[in-house]
Amino acid sequence: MFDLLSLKILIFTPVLAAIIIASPLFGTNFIYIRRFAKTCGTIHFLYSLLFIVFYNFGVESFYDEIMIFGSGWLEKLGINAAFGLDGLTVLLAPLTSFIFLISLIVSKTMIRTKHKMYYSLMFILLSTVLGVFCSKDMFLFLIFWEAELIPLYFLISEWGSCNCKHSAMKYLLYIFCGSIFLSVAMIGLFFYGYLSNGELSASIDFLRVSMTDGIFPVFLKKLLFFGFFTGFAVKLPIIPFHIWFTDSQSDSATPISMVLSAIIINTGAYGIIRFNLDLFPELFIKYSPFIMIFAVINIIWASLAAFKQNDIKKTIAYYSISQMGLFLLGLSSLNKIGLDGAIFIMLSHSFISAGLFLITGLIYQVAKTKTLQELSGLGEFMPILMLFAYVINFAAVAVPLTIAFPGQLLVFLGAFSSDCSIEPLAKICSFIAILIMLLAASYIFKLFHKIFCTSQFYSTKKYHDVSGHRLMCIAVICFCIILFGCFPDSLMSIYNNFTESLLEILRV
Amino acid sequence: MDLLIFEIKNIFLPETIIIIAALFNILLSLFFGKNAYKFSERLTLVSIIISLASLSFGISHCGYTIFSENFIQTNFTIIMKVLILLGAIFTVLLSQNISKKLKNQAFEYHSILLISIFASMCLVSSNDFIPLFISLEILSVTSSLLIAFWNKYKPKEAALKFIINSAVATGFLLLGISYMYGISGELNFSLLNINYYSQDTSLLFGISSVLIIIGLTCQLGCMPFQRFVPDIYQGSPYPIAAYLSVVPKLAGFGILARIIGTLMYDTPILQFVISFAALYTIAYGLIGGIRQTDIKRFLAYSSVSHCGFMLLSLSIFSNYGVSSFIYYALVYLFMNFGVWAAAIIFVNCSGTDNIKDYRGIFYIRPYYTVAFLICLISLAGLPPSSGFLSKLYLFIALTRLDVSGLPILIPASLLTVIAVFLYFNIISLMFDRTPKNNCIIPAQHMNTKIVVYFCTLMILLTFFFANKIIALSMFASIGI
Amino acid sequence: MDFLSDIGIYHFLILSLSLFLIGLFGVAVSKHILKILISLEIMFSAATLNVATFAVYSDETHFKGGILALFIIVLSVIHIIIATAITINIFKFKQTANIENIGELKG
Repeated sequence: MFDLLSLKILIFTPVLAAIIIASPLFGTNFIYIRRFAKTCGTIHFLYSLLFIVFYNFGVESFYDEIMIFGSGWLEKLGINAAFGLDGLTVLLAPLTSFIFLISLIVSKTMIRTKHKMYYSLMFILLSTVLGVFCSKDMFLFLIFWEAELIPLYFLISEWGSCNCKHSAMKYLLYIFCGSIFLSVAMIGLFFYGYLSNGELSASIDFLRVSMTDGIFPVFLKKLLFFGFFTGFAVKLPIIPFHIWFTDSQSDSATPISMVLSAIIINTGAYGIIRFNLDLFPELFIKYSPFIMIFAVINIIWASLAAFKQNDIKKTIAYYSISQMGLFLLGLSSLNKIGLDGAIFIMLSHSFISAGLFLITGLIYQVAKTKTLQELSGLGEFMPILMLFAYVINFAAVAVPLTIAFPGQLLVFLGAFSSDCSIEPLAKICSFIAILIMLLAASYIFKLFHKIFCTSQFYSTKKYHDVSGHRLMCIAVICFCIILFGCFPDSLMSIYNNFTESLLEILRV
Repeated sequence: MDLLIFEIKNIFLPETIIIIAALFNILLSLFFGKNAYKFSERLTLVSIIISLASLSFGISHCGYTIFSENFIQTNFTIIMKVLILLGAIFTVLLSQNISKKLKNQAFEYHSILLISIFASMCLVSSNDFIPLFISLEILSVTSSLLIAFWNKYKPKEAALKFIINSAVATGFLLLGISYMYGISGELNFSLLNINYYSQDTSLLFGISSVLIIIGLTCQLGCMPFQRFVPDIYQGSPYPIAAYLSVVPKLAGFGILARIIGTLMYDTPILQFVISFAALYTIAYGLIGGIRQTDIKRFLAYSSVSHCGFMLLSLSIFSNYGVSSFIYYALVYLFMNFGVWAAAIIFVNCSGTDNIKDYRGIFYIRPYYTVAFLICLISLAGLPPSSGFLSKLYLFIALTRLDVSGLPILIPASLLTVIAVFLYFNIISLMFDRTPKNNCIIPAQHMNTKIVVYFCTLMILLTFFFANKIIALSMFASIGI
Repeated sequence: MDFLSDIGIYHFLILSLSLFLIGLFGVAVSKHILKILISLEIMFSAATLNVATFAVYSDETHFKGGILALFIIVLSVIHIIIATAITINIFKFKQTANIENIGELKG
């Protein structure tokens, strides 16, 4: 009855930690709060690694349900609080925990006020994101999806700079609007599952079965598909819904930007795979040319916009958007190579954008400015930071032996050889994408060159180089980037079965 | 005589206890001196708790009608009475300040409150148009007396607006009742149920139903009588505004649910009318509340929008509709009393009604602000509060098990986005960095604090244990 | 001529409906509170007339309509009493009963 390795513990212990932090137990002694938070984060990350170790490949495991008084949570309505892991989420959950741990360690010097509130909100956010990844029930997914809104709203608006309140409100309104589309589509799907099968249940497996067996009018399927897609399109920023992302990134504190870009975007990407691809395969195949066009627009727009930015954080935000465009390109290619590459990009982009924002944060701490015009010549004083920055730089432009290379290579191969309905479109799109990614090389190189290499008149100021915990964080990220770049198969073999089962669904 | 005692003992006991307590309140005011308001409070509280306990006598006698078929007891009425009595307990707890200032008149205040509660309970369980009309009149008269109790000017104006509004609504209600009486010659719900309406009278039946619904919407604060609700709440004292926003509304919705369930379930055109009114009310409440600077008006607009949602849940003429209404009503009770109690605490220590004075209150009193935050999040409809579940249940019930509910579902769900924006204006103010006033919340407002924390706790509990409550509401909706 | 001389149920119904509409118009248009109250009384009387008409012209033995009419009369009087008491209170504060001048609550 009580397993040692259960998802309930994984998801709800951060909430427990948040309550302990928020209670009067700690007073305002932020040193103890910080240490407690870091310890909890480390234990949680190690615990989540155990899930990979004990994962049965090919079989959905760790299925867990919350029972209240012997019956499901909302059994009358067919909603059960069911959690489970499969090939993709068993990688995403430890990744989430890892990025949160890094941002908790880094926030030692970057967060200077209201520690109690910050750490408890971070843990609540961790719990809700893990709930999104691990839930096996549609409405439970929705509950955790919407529950992400509140902690992140407070995190953005409290510790940000200049326009943070407006950006936080923009974030809230955009995402909530998207999730309204999502909830209406979910309710529609819920009832069609009921009509075609006679049983009221919101579990995703049940819905997948009823979608394939049931008789749905095609018009309604299209409506539901668009509802789901809009909801996720706002989260995984697809141009033109990306405004909340760039504004929130430029206005929030560094650890929060890391989490926002590395994890929250991934929830949108995961949602597209879980709902749009899994439940509506024929429609996805039919609309894959459009998705490919969206992907290419993402890449082009983001890369071109990143050139003109003065703010470093906005540049990196646009880089994230273009990576998500690549992800969509890989998804819409509909073959194994493309899907593998897309998921790999989902993972690699987390590391790289976390690293990029971390470097930005470190620079901001030292030089107290984020605008590109005022920063130059830091390489003289901070050689170690420059070293790691250039490692991440090369990773961002997908140099081989870094983590981004296998993903991008597979995506381009898959997109080029995809058998979508409009034949030349695939080839043209992938060609454009490759060209634009070359541009990506140039704007990131330009960014770091300006920051580190040009020598200017800042010789009177003395900057300290990174040391201590900051050095450790950035070193760990770079190490992971190089490690998974050299051995990408270690990650790919875990989600291999998942992609194969997705392809089965697509072919059928 | 035996029958009378039987009926009173088994079914009418809660109302009897309340009326006896009201009479005692008036009687005892002759014997007590100046500082006896505490006795009046305790008497009222004890009597409400006893009548809540005595509701259990009626559970086994469901389906019985008493007083020659004028009142009925079903599962639905028992649950509505429980909600009404809970609301009454909260009101008495919150009016501690007022009764202290009223000194000797506190007896009269509590007795009028008790009569109002009596009228609400009778309204919910009435089975005939005559007791419906009488209870509605008593309810509106006593509510306006409660509003006008204070010795300043604003309550009087608010009471005037309230009573003129309710008189016009009663006029419409009476016209509708008379036409209904004219069609069938019967005033009793169980006898009106027999559908012998021919083709000639169905139009008149529809018109009279619409008139009756218009007449009831004044109590509900919905269209077409929603324009004066913010003024009324702004003028009345805080505990009375809290009471008005919950108890008469629950009673009105209860009787509307009963009327719809017994009389109107066959006419689909009424569904359209009610849903249109509900959507208009929701839009009015949400859009009107955006630019408010006074906390009472803000909470009034938010309660108008929530009543619109409850009306929308009643417009689904099915079991799911009524059961989603019961769940929404329960959550609404706790949410509303939570926010009003929090507003009372704040106004007691800082003395202003303005929303802008809530700036930075998190740094002065964090726990109180977190409780207020949870109530506001529940009003906005975000997880992990039960406001989200109630709206989700409402949307699920709106689809009516096929696609015909979609034209109503989509505007309703789009309007909830405005709700989030509305409440997060206040939330972002509360957590702002610079507190503008030194609001030291004194420690003696024990009753109000009890209400705030209890309501917050219930909001979270009804989220986690929603299954039992939804099962209960589905059970109650069957025997309407 | 037939229509004017043989008074049947429709005459009473039209009378009560027009009284109701006159009362409603009076409530909507009047500027003096007491005028509003009198128009309200007209509305209630119209409803009472309606009920009494249906009670007489239907052949039932229990005469429920009559009971309802009595109750309407009593309760409308109560309504008007309370409204008048509130009006007197307002007059004490504001020395006027014109609804244009007594508005203090916003909107």
